[in-house]
Amino acid sequence: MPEKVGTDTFRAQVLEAQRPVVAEFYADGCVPCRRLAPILSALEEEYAGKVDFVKINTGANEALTQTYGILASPTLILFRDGAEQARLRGAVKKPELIKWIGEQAL
Amino acid sequence: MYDVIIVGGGPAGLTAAIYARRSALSALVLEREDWGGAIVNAAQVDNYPGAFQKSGFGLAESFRTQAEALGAEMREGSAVQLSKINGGFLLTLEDSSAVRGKTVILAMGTQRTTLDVPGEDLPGVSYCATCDGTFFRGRTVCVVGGGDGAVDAARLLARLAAKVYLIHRRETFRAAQSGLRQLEDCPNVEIIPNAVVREIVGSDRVSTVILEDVHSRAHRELPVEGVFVSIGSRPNTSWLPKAIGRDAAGYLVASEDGATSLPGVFAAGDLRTKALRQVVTAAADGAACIRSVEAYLGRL
Repeated sequence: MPEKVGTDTFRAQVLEAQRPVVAEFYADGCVPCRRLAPILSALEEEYAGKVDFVKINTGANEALTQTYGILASPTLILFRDGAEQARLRGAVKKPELIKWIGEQAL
Repeated sequence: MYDVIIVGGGPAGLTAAIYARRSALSALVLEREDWGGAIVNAAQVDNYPGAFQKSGFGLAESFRTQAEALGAEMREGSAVQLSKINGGFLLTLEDSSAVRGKTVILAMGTQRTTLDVPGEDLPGVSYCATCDGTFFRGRTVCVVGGGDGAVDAARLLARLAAKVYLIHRRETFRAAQSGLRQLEDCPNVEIIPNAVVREIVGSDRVSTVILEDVHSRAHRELPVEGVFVSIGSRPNTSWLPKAIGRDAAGYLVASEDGATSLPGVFAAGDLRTKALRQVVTAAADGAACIRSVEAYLGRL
């Protein structure tokens, strides 16, 4: 399961990461986020050593949520070399996610 | 060939699967997208007996677990065509594969209605206050709709946003009086009746909605940063053959036994013509349909 990241750990684990990072901004009680959770867990294993996966609770991390202009749960942002490279807004299916990661991160 | 193919994995379809397996019928459940149906979006279910205060997601999960434990087959796929074949029916899926069943239960439920106005794809337009309300803390938002869903969304948002407009095309609301009364106690909620949204405006996110008064046709701009849409749903039945009768809104015409105008095809749940669309009536439909399937197959 992707590790939870907060304001205090975001820089080290996302912006300064050696690999591309897929960060999921999620909300408690968000059904599309719940559906996405097992997919992200599976992809984290499949892409181990190539892409990192983290999750950010938007309710508990308002500053990060505002910094990145999050307006929908879930929102996936791909970070590379400390900067946002791409984002997906809303529910997404596994094949679409694999294609996106392939195009953006590998 | 399955004894019964159930199209739709919500409360109606999964209950049908449970009853089918209890009657030793082979059963396949097809679900296009989201197992559990519309109820998964309910934060809390208070009116399904035995599941008081359970989440809609949890309740739907338990339906599916029970159907699977009893041996129903589950498959993700979108049915796009239903044809009559010798001894039953052929359902063609989006990926061109096909499944065959002696009978079919249609239980696809309904899908949410969109506003269908310019700007609906802008960031800041949402169909889920539970998911996205937190992003509008201290901001001005509007909710569009007049049913329980809209009133619930407005109440939730009133706790987060600085100002909430509830925009409804009529003077009176379909929503339960209890919810409306609670809304009246929220000082930051303003109800705008007799108005429809004609356009959502913004460069990279929502900044304004353009409202039209349904009587005077006059337009006015309302500055908001978030738009929460809750204007009901409609059945997804347009792909079905004409031999299956439906009403003007697209609901399948069927009575309590689920029988449609095409023998061997049954309708269960929210897509059937009925007075009350609830989990409890959907589940009842699923059970009743299996009795009808058994009768059709000559097993009773």
